[in-house]
Amino acid sequence: MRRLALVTAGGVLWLILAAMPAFADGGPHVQTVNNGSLGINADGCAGCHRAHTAQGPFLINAADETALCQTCHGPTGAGATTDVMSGIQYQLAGRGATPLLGALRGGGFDSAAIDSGNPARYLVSNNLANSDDQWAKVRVLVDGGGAVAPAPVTSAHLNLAENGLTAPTIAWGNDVVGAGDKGPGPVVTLSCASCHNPHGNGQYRILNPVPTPEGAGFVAATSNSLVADTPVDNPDPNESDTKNYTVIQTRGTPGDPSTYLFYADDIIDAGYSPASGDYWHVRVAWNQASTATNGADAPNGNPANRAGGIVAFNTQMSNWCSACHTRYYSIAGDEPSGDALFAFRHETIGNRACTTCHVAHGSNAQMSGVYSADQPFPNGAVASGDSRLLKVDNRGTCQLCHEPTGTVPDGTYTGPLPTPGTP
Amino acid sequence: MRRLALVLAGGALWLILAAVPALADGGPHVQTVNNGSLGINADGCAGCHRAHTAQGPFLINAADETALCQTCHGAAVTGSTVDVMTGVQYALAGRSGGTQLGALRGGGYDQARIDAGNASRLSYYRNADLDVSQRPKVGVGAAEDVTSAHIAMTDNGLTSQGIAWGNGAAGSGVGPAVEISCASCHNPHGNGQYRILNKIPEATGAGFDDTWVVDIIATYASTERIYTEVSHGLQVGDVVTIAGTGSGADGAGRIVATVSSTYFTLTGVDIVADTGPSGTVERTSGVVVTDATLPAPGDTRNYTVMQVKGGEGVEATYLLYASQVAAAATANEFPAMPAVSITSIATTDTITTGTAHGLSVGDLVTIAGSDSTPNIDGVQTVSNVGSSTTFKLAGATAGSTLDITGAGTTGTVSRNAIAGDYTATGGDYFARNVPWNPSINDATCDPTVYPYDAGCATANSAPNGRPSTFSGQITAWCASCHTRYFANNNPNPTTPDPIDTGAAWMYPRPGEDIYMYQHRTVAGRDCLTCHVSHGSNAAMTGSFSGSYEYPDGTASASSRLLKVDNRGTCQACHDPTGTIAAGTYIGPVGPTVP
Repeated sequence: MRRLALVTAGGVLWLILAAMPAFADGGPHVQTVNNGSLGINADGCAGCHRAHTAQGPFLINAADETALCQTCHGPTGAGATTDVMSGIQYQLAGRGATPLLGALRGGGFDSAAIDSGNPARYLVSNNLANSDDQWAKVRVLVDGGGAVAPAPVTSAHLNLAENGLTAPTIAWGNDVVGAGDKGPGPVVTLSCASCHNPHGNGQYRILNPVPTPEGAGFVAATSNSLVADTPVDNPDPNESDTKNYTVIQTRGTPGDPSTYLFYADDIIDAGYSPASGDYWHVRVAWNQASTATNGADAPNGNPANRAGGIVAFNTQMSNWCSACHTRYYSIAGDEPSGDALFAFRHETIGNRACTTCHVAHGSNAQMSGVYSADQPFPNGAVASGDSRLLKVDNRGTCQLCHEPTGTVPDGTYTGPLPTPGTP
Repeated sequence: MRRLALVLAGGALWLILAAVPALADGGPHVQTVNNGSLGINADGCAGCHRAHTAQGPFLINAADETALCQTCHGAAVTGSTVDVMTGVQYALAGRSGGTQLGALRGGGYDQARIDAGNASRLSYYRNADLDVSQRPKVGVGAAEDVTSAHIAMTDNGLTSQGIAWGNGAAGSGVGPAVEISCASCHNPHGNGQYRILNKIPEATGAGFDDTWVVDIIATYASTERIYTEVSHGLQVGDVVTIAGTGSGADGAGRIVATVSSTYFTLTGVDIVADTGPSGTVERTSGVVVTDATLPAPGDTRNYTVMQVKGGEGVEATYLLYASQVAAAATANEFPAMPAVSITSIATTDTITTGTAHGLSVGDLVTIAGSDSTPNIDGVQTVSNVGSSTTFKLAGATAGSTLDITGAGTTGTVSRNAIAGDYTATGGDYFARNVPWNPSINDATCDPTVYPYDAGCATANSAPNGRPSTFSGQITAWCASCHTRYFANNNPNPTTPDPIDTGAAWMYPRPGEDIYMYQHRTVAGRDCLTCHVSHGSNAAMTGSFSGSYEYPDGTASASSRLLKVDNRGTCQACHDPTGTIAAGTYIGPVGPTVP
């Protein structure tokens, strides 16, 4: 009997271990391991670096940073749940035949699952002065069977052989804000580590506090851009620490992490389909009015400023993007900036954060219209069909908030039927 | 009464003799005995060799070299204070009483005492930009079985790839299969080298190449400089052969006069023409690793991980001998140095001594009997060492020099005692800098302040008393076999300028597809900073470290002679997250020096 109990216990243990991701969230990217605060014995260095046989700069174990990252985060890797090339997150790091968790918020570098051709909009009130008057959602792209179906990207933050993109490699708008003609921005070289610190740093998505593309004339930020992260450890000791990187969100209670979908297992527990979620996420849930303290996009649980120095996610995120795209930051679209090129800019504050209109990695939105297809970059160059990381085909991104004709009656719903649900 | 005195004297002599090691340092390994310069009557040959009844090659009195060495340096024998199998040095020859002096720097072949799971680190500001660096220490722990060793043997149960990793020219593969033994690295007859290291290490194996050749990329007549394609490991005084440059430098027996990372000059050679990428430099003299003076009869060297920061050129200021370690262990301090007379205290703030002062920057010293203005008597900190007989003192504010406004002509200066744990469990395996944490003995050293106080100064590791050269010499020596592990600067592949170079971690080694991008192996990052030479007990239990590939792709949990569990060796110096603030200490409670 005792032997049977042992065998059973062993079997249960095996099942638990087999079901766990190969690595806890962050894999080799956990700050407290890599900074030595848990002891000077980190293992992760050996995952990516070689002291004497490195194949790339910074002693990495691949020809370049992107290739190194793809060994785990590529479409054929099995070292992470997140496939940033295809824009999807799996439930288990081993992937294989394991089910999907959902579509990545950032889209993907090679393909993305943004249902950019079928956005939904409910015009609460045709009033351009109040962005909360338009409720919108951009769903996850699926095939006829309802399975998540990423499509080739039409723009990405990296030009790669895989995506075949050739957009100018300019840090648009980078330079010190001020009057005069400073041009479109410097030519730079980007890699994954330009934006992310793979060693972990306590930031949301391990974003570098000071993004660092390489390029002559690039003006780096002189202060840190902090973006608060969620707890590394899932408070449920029986569940994985793997985070939820998908577009699946629910409105939580600020200050109560347990009410947000921070961890992958929370999505599984809730039973949300991989095809659920909202790429637009101006408000959470998309079809419910936000309040002064809640309802805004909050993948880190901070929808609004609150006591204790908590700053709203959108505010921090736009500040972070503006560390490179300095002259894109705007608090008033109708005020001239003084810059000869970036003279008037759409506001990038409140729920008009950079990540409201754009994804971070790559978008499959289709720019097939005459104007959208060949819209020149700030330097005048044209890359036909480039979607600028926008989330909706052509300029549907504008329309999700704006009805400039004033002709659509309040209460009008436009979009796929049946009306999308939540999240 | 006279008889009683005789008896007492005899007893005292017996006590002294009984305490004297059976053999002076080096035992049968003393160069001047074995080379006959002290007379053609050496005894040591008979210790290891048999002319007609030898049991092994080279007429040795054992089945093989390793077995022979173990007859004195093994774990269960008494012929030497140094037990290289379990990584410990005993206080007395015969290992009397089992009293240990300390843990061996090299680790051990069967066991080692590296506290690999409890590394320490203090973060501090290293520059005006307030970038944070680390002051690491790896202490001494309990004896544990090794997880890697330079020789796989029955005792340690290790299996070796048997490859001299990186030996050979660029593009020649991972390295040749070789066999090594103790004598591959050491000359047991003595040769005046640090640790009797062979000037040209010798492994046995087809394809093993013990020549050391680097391509020349350019010569310049105006500066007499000869540039190498990749950084060279040449040391001043090396004998080299230059071939194929057509610059006037070509020839054998050239002496290296000056060195920089990617160029060198030669003594008495006139470079008559600028040349392009053509030719080679080959070191023919072998690699000198300077040794300290032999200990006095009855004493042995200090082979442990205990070091103090001394004044270059004054060996007495270092912890070079076992007797010093034993005395320091009893006193809990390395004693103050004898006072040296001061002959001048100038208004340039320079203090001159009549003989070599043996001081280094950061030393706490006591000045007495001086006559300058202001009066400088008392405990002071050395802020600058101009020469072996001149120095300056630190001022009241960090980074400043004490301002002498009225000259003086007399006084004495002595380095203060250096408190610490010099017992068998004392010492620092990492030895990146000495002392590893100057704040411990000098509270004025504040790691959260920059510019830092003079008391924060550290020196390069110098177990031979030569901090200015040891690091470079030992790396050049290791690179004699592991040729392509020597790394500093490589050419920038994106520019045509032949002397545009950059860090080896940024630019690849030309013509190489395995040892391409590499951690630099220069001072402070020499081979012995990260690795021990004999064997390590560091545990590689992590997913990545536990299945780490050798250069040939074979995965293994071998600790690669590293000093810290998993990749703590990396973390000892690096915080890649940028989240640890200056002043943060991580490690065991109550850190001590050395």
